[in-house]
Amino acid sequence: MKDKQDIEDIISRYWDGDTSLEEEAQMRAALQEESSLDPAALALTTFFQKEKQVQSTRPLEIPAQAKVRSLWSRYRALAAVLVVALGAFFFLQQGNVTSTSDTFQDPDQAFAEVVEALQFISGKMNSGMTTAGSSLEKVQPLDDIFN
Amino acid sequence: MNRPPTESHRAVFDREIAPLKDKLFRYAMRILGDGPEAEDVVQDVLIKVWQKREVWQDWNNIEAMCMTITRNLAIDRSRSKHRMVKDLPDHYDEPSKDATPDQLTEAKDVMGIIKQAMSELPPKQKEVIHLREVEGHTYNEIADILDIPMSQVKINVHRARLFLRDRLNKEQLEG
Repeated sequence: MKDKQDIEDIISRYWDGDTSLEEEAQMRAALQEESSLDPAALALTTFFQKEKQVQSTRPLEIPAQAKVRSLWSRYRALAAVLVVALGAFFFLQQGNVTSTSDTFQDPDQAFAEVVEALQFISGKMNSGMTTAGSSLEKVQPLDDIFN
Repeated sequence: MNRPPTESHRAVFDREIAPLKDKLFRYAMRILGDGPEAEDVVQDVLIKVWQKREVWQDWNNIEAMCMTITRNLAIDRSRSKHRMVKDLPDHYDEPSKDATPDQLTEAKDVMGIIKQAMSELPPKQKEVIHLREVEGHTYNEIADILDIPMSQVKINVHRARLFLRDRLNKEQLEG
């Protein structure tokens, strides 16, 4: 512990802003023991020591998680708009299917369309069977070898 | 794109940055004078510091850098809201429970006088005195945080202390 003269010198330099952190700690300790050394310095140091006890009350959030949450909160409105827009798009698409031009009110016209469609499919099937038959003839020798 | 946190970054964060939370809060509080706003600033600071984890090794003093970022974000927020800088809330200057009623009254008066005087300090002096007296930074660190020459730090500390002492002496003499 420094003697009184040293402490008074430190206090004097404290007011001049010319003390080190270590000297200021010595000054605080000395003032706690003898407040008459400088009541104003004691009051100030007491005030600042109490302020040092102030703490944050909010729990520490891990920044990486906070960033994810922050990004989510920023873009969730955009995501909601996209979902609604996509929903509306598909809904309208469904509506278009029910009102296509190949729906007929006249049964005769509908029957004619069905016949035409079946003839088209039949023609394609015949063509396919012919192609398949010629291909089968080509692989027949291999079939004879293995069987 | 952010990489997932590596163990080493996580460890550095937990050891060197997370413990600064209260200090950053007090500094933001000193500038903003609003607890919830100061808490928001601290969270923003921690996110910003984490995003810069790839350059931590280039920082000479992580704590000083965190304080600088806190200062910048708090001042930005203060300007955006045209906020007047206030002082810390009343319950922070409660005297000891062992004191007599007279001592309690006197202590409250003294703390009230200092608090009022603190609120009247120019912003630069208020920040400098806070960083020195409350957070215990060296003059060099304060100069780094505030980006001013060390001579200015000393002058501001000197003037702030004298202002507070004169106000205290004057009020007590008048009281």
